[in-house]
Amino acid sequence: MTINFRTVFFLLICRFIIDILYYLISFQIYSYQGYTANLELYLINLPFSLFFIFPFILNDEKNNISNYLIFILLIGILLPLSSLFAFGASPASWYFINLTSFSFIVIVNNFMSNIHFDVPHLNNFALFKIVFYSFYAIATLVFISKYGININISSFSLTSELIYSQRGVFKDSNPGYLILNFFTLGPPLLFAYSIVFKNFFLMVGSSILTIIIFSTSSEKSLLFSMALYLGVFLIHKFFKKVNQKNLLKSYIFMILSASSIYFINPILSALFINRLIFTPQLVSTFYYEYFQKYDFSYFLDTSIFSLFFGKSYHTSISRELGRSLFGDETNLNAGLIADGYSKLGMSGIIIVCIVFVLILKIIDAFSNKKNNLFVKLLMTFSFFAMINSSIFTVFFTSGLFLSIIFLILLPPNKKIISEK
Amino acid sequence: MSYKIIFNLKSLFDLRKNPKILFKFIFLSLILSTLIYFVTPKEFVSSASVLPSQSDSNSLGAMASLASQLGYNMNQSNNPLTDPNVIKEIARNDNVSSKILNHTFTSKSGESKEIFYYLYPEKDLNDPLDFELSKKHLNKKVINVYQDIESSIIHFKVTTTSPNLSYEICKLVFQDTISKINSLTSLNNSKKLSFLTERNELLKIDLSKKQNALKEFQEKNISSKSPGLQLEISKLITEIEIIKNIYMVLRGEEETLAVEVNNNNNGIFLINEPYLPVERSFPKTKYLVFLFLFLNLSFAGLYILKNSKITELIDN
Repeated sequence: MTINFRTVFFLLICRFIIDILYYLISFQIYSYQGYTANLELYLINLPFSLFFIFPFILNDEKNNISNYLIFILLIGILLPLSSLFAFGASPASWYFINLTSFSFIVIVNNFMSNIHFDVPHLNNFALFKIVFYSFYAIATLVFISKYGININISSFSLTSELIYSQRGVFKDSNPGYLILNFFTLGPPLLFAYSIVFKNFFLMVGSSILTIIIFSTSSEKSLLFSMALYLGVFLIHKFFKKVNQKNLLKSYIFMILSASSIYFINPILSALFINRLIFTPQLVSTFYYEYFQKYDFSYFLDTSIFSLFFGKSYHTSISRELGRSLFGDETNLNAGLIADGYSKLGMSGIIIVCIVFVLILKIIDAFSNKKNNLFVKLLMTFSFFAMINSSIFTVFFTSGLFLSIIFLILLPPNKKIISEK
Repeated sequence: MSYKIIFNLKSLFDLRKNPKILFKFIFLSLILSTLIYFVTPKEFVSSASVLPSQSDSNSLGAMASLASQLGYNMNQSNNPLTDPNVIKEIARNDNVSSKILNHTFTSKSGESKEIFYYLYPEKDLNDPLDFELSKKHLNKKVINVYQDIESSIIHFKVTTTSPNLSYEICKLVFQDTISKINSLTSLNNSKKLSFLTERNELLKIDLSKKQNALKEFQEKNISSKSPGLQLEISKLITEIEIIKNIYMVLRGEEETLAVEVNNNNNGIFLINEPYLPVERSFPKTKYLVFLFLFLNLSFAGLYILKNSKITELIDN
């Protein structure tokens, strides 16, 4: 095992920026949500909290698509959780469970990368394009027939009341899996396709689609994912080799940019830092504490399992937690590890980690010799969603299943170039 | 060291040429799924639900308007004990769990023993550790008390392997929770009532004294119209008025509380009483179908893996 000390250096910088942001912004503004910060405890916990570096070091061994996808979760879950643990806002046991789980994921993934699956590759770019465009055509038709074309520029002001009322109307309309996939994955993926395969017409189309969809759904994550996709694209433009070190540099740039907005619009900056970095981990801590007291869901909170087993969990966990902890009708969704814990405790975490590694293996197997940037962009949204969503929910509603289908259909890069 | 697995997906399609193996798979899946289906312990659910009156108006929704149409005022009580979260905690209370586990239940076969032994036949009721662990298990796995997602209705749900046992435990947890809330509310009201009665008695005496003092003063100074004496009379009258007003308010409150002390429905409305489950809640036919499909898929996966080729890759 070789340790890349530059990666460690950037990780430490990243972590201390996160700590400062937590103490100066999230804790000061959002302490009513349950954040605590004990500086004496911080000094004691700091050495243990730095163990979060180990999974990163292990993940640095290879540079496959799976390593990139694991990196997203390490940055999204383990890094902020280590900070919360250091400040005493998250229990040590929960931090170490996450640390062990991610170490397990990285070790198993590294081991699995030595096993190569001989999977069939479809060498037909036309077939890919037919399926790709058909998805957009059908989804757009279904969308227009259900919601019409509505352009509301005022919702781009991100005013909370306006956004939440619009979002409430959209969610009450029972959109269905196709529309949900279209709403979450559609515009960013079309944008990714247009920049990778240099199609200006589709780039304009994806921007228009974003405006129309955001006006209807008011999902802030859509705007964020467009920015994220642009960010991933720029990283690939700027750096010759996209490894953890360079990704960390970009992440540091991103959080510094977000925190610098604080001087112009403190609320927007605090919202961005809190919602994207700390809230998912605060919620995961809530999940851990809640399921110490109440019974696990035994996977019955997932509609697909409920359908097969013929019974379901007695309540909506996310709504129940929202009501118990914030006293309002918020949906508190937990990320990969917390979701596994809510399903079957430690055994649930192991099951979820195994499922996760298997999905990574499938992605690695099918991404061989394919356009690296497009495959990354294809998978980025679904894996980002896993920071605060169940892996099973992500599979159907956040486009993971659809992304894998597109990945399987995508021909190797050489084939696309030769066809062009 | 690296390995390459070449999945032989074709072998699965070739199975159609060998229907004997295919039939074996299906038959084995059918037998196994049926076996698992019948071996899986049956679950019977008994449930009940109540509507606490004190809730915030936002979460009451349709139930509030329905209740008001029926003549109930949803915001009549400010009793913290009827808060849905408090009810959930009371239902998980140590006393309630202990009472349930120690309760003697007669089964259909006529056997009479504590509920503890029906739920945990291997454990000893007199062992404090066993008892504590059983209480924890009871509250986590057997009894489920939760708030409805759309309203403030509280559901009590009990799941065991026997319909009668579920019904009995549901009745106990339901009644104990309600009676605990009622007794705590009554106790609180009784304390408040005795304080008010005492205070009203004192006020009554005080009022009487002041009225007598005014009477005596007016009798002694019947013909005097001096401003000093008039001021003194006015002072006495004001004092009497103040005491009278306090007395009237407290007296009214005392009367209301006296009614509340004897009220057995302290802000909780019964929506569904515990019932005896007729049908099992699990496993259902869907489960059998799922098992059958799952086993078939597993066999198919194993078959592909068996026919796949694993080769070791030599580095470089």
